Amino acid sequence: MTYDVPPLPPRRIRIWERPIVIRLVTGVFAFALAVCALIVLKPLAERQLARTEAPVVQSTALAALPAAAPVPPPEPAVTRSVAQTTMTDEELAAAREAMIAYRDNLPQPDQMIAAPAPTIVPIAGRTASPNTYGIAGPAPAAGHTIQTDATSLGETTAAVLAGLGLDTGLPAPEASGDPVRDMTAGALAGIRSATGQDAGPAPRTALQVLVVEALAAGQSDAYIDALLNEAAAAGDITVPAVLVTSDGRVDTAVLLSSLVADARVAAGGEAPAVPDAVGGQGVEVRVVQTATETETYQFYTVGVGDSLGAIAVKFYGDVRHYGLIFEANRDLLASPDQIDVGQRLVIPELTST
Amino acid sequence: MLRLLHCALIGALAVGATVAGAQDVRLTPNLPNLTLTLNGAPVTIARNPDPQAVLTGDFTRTSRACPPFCIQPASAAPGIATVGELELLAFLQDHVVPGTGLLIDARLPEWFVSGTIPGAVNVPFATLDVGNPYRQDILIALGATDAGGTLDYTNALQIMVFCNGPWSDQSTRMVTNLIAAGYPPTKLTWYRGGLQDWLMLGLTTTAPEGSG
Repeated sequence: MTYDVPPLPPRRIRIWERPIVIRLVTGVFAFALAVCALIVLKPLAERQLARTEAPVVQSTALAALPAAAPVPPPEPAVTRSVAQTTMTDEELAAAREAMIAYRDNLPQPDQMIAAPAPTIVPIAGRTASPNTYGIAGPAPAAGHTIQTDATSLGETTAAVLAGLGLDTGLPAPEASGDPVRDMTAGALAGIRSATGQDAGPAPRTALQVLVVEALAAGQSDAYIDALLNEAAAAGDITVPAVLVTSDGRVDTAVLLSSLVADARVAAGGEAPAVPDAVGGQGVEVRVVQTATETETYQFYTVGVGDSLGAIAVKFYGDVRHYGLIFEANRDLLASPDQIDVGQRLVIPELTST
Repeated sequence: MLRLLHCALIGALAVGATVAGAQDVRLTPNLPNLTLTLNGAPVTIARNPDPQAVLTGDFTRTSRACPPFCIQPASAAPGIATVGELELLAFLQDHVVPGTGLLIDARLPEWFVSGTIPGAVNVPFATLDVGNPYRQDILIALGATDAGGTLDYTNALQIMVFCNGPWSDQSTRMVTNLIAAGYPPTKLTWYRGGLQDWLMLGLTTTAPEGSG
């Protein structure tokens, strides 16, 4: 008899026993995991990106608005044809002349200028030898790091004007809040009293001494600019951070214009007015309209030779407001002198104080 | 040179010194104390007469953290003489009294006002750091003259610098900074012992009134 052996059922190879399938499954699983990770993390990354590039992202979204159709109702600020309101060179020169005339009309200007204690550098010392800093030589290379100090521009202009015999009554030097300056003043008082010297003027920075000497000698703006830049490049002077330009030079124009402005105020003139609207190279105005309100954002792209001080003068008429711009752009600017060509700065609206 | 000054000092004072009775703790065997006219007022520098006196307070500490309070070398910089207390007294008499020299306390103002060596002027070390934009004013007050961009130290004062003592680098830094500024090493001396050694010897200190 035949033993009816039922045919062996074909051995079923489980799906997970196939090596290829195992790999496949693992692969698919990993892929799914990666996709999940992407889905979860991508929005986070985008949010991060959006934060660091806030102004840019915002404005690309809005860029089309003003161009497509002039935003409907209220916005005169959108018009790009705004007047150039920074001081022109002619105005600057005129105001500077006014300041010098003012100074020259003071009684005995020479004595007043030379008035600081006998121990102080004779005014003629440096200006008599214009080659001290190789004035005729080439301008310092772009990108040279200028050393800055903790003095404010207001302090600097007050000290320079005081050196020229003009008391602005602006920031009282005693209330400087700069410990090194206060310590210096204390040390000077101690040395002078111990050695029987006259109580001299408050401490002045090398920059202040240099500018006073140059102005007293009637040097031109171009000369002073070259003088300051040579001295700064040589490390002989330190300057307020707000005067450092995007190409690593000293912004002499802003220094001189704020001298003029302060001298004008001290002479009873008006404080510089805030320009109504600002235009020109690098200025952008973006208007955002939401259901309830319309907001205007102003941006400025840093150009070659711009300093934070110059930008403050451009938009606010007064260098002293530079802090507003600096604070609004802390994510871009490590310090007021770290300003680079191409940086796109938000210019906050100047709220009346 | 210093030895000569020292001898001159002792010689001069051995004659005119007022022997203060039974003073047992003298400056030197022949010099019980020293009276000088500093800043317009007579000051007597002497040692604490109590043979049992010991230091108390801050200057008894042995183990300030290093850094920053590290042991200073015997010489602050090449060419700078390191001096002791007797040379300091000679310096006061030979340079500070006639106005040709200045004894500088390089510590910060709060230390200075709490007590210093008689005749010392406070010029905190930080004010001579190259980063101080007002540094030139101090150098000029010390007698340097501006010679068209550089300073001329021909008529600058003789300077002796000290700080808290061998555990503080403030006076060392000041000496280094003065040399870097061009101050001639021949016009600089360093009292390494500072307030620590001065107090350890029971010497007179003054708390400057209305200092600064």
